[in-house]
Amino acid sequence: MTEKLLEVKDLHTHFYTSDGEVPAVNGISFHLNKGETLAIVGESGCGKSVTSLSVMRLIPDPPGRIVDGQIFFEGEDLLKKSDSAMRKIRGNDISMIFQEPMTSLNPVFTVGDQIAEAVELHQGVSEEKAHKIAVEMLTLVGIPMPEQRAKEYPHQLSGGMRQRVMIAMALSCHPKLLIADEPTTALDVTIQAQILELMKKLRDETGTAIMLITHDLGVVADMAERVIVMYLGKIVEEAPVDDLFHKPLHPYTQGLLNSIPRMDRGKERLHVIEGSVPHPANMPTGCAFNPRCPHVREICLERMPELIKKEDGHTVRCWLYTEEGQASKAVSKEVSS
Amino acid sequence: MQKYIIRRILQAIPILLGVSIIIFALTQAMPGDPLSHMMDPNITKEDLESAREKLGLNDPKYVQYFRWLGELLSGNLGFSTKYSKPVGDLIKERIGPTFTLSLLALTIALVFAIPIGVYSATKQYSKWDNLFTVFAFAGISIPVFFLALVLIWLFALQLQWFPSGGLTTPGVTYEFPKNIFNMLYHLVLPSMTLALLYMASFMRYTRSSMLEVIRQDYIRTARAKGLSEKVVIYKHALRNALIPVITILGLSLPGMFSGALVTETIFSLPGMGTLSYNAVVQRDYPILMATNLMFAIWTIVGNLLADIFYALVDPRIRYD
Amino acid sequence: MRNKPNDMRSEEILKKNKNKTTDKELKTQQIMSPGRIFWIRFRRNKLAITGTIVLLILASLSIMAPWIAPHDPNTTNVRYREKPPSAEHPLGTDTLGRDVLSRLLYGGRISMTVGVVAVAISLSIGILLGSLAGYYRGWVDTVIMRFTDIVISFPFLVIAITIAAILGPNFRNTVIIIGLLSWTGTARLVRGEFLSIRERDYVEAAHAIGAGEGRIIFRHILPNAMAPIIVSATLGMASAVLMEAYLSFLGLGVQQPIPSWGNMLVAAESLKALQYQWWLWVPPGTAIFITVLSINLVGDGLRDALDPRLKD
Repeated sequence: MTEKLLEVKDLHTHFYTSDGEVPAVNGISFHLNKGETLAIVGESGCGKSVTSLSVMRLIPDPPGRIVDGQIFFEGEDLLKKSDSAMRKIRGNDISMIFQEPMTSLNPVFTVGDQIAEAVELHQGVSEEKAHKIAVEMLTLVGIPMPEQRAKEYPHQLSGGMRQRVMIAMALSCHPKLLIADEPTTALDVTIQAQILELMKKLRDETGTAIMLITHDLGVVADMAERVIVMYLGKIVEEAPVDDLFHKPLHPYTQGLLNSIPRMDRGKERLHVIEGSVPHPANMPTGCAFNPRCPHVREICLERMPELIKKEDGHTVRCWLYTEEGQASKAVSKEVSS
Repeated sequence: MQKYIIRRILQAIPILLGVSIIIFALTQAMPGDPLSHMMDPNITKEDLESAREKLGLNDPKYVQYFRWLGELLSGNLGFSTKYSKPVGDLIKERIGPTFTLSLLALTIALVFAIPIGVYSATKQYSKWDNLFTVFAFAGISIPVFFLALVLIWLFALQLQWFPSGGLTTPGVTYEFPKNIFNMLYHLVLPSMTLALLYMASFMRYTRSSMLEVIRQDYIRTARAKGLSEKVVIYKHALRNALIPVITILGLSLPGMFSGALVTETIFSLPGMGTLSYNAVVQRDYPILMATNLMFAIWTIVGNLLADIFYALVDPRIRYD
Repeated sequence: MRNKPNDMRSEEILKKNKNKTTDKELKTQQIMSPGRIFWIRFRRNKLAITGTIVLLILASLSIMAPWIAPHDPNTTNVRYREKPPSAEHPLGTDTLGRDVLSRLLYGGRISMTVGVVAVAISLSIGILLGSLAGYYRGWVDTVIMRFTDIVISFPFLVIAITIAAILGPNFRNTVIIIGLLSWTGTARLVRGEFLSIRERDYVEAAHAIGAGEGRIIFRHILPNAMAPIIVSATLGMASAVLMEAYLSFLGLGVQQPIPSWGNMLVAAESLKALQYQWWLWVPPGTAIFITVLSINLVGDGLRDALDPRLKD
């Protein structure tokens, strides 16, 4: 049953900016099984969106480029495919929904046309049939009066409705993998819940695998089976969702979890991770998290740790879980000012 | 949509009135009055005075303005003493060449400018983009008359491919449609002159508008659907990029008319531009006022049409 | 592998790592003055630099015309008419036997003077009306903007030759006509800037401490709208030089015997001159072209350098 749908191996995606070469994704490997939901979390700028765009091969070039690695989808390396072969996969086998429903739809075409366009292209059906499918998809994502709505333009719909349209568009060709890049971030809280419910329902009905990109751990707990935590272009922790929430290993994950407000913790002060994310073109020496880490040891300033397997399916990139790290001297906290 | 169009038309009315007031004021500023031009020098002062009274020249200015406006609205644009013809008739004769020339030039310009602009935007900073940029800068910097002279020198005098002026070969009448090819042949150089001029700026506008659009999220969505680059650029991006270009087209009208005036003068085309220019040289004020009025009205109507067209292609306005 | 630099203690490394977070921001925000940032951006634009250099050369040639011109620009010589270039007359002589090169140099003074003065006039009107409209809004704004719409409706050349016919064509009137007809763009621009700037906090603060309206307009708002105004003034200069050339070419601008690039080109209206006497029309036409092109290149460079929103 655990057949691998997607396998990313040692992916490096760099951006060439006026500040120099920026390794936005710096050697990450992970996989996604058929029908599974994997969440990738991290602060903005950690490379999670670049990872998803790399899988779609939609990195704008210039300034970005995938410089190394392999992305196997159903056993075939997407990075070796021709542009036209890749286009047959995009929107068909792998589709994507984006963060900004307000700007992600073309303002001059009706939503029906925009959904039908992909159906016509990938399924080779007539325009009429494609429009019928578009209306069916709108019904599926719970848009009232779908026939009427299909003839409307994006600006006539609310943000929540537009995100439903994006989902309808993404699912219109029954993709095997759906990449959702912060699908609820731009929406109101009540609408967020509705969209998540919809995505869960559709996933259970269609069996589509989902790669969920988010910074919202609430969304992760609600939807994902497995979680990858990214920091500055690298994976720092990977675990099944329950493990991650109950036994977070990496100090960064612990920080993230502590910064969620929780009803059961009473009036305790909200924890914040000290400092801010360094610029990727100007990486700290050693472990990238060391300027913000509460447990820095000397070794953390010298070398980046490898990913360490702690338990089944639970890996972490931190010296604290190695003998070498345990032996290393703690750096005094005085300097934190 | 209807409300929008009605609102836009209502907005144009005060502008038209303002234009008419300025033109009336200019008439008043002109040296002499209609009588000092046409009267016999032997007439006595008293007769002159009574004639003035009869023509209403002694009435308050605002009375004279409204009377003039009334005449305009009933289609009376005045009488040209130099041509001994109503100004309205003269303008009717001259509109044809001006419009043919402008439309020809505009069409040629757009046919080239839009694809080039799109290409430049998709291949920003490439060798060709840089070349087109230099061409565009040259185009907006060269005086029309100098460009016209260079084209005449090259194509009419050196190569002798096209005539250097006139609307038809001498002896051939302006009859339409019989002599259309003779006329078009004569219009090659003038429309090339204007087309090169318009092309430069429209190329730049298309390019910058396109650069703005291809950065938008919905272009990424279109690519994520698996659409080919051609469909992404020419269907999804261009449709959006051309919307602001329509407004620019409307706003460029006055400049285009100025260009047409110079071009007509150099190529001796019997259009509205030469009519205005000759009127200045011959101090034929009724014609001058009428041509000013016509050009201003065309500009205002052109902008109005551009706005309406804009609304037609932009659903965000259409359904407001 | 554990080759920790001896001269650096762990605390120092950590401190340095922490500082890296803000290094980037420091570099752009505190160390460089706005003028320096502008210069670095401007310098990168090769076309703009070329334009600046060419413009400086043309301007100095024009200014130095009385000293470097080989002949008096107005001395006629009936026996030495329409002669091709020679050692005596590097660009030949015109229909009245005057030295073309000398007239070209003196013509540059006229063109550039018209450009500068006309832009000064149009800028003053545009800034004044734009500020009033953008600051007071309401009916003041409506009246000024409708007036702007009216002026914009007249094609420049048509109305300009009409006014020139009424006022009489000469150098002074040319400057006035160009100035009076080309302020509309500046007015709209300044109004737009005012509408956005007047909402900002520092303007609110100036209001709160009781600063007078004049002070708010001239000390707080205008300086912040300078960048687009400078750009529009530069591009306005290019079009003023062109407009002078058009008017003079049509015989309704600067009049003979004062040399202007526009009225020198009148000679080329005869097909004979166009075909056989290139020195009569190619030099003044090229001079206008190069001058306007240089100013446009500088203006474009200024826009890119002053308005970072337009470039990535």
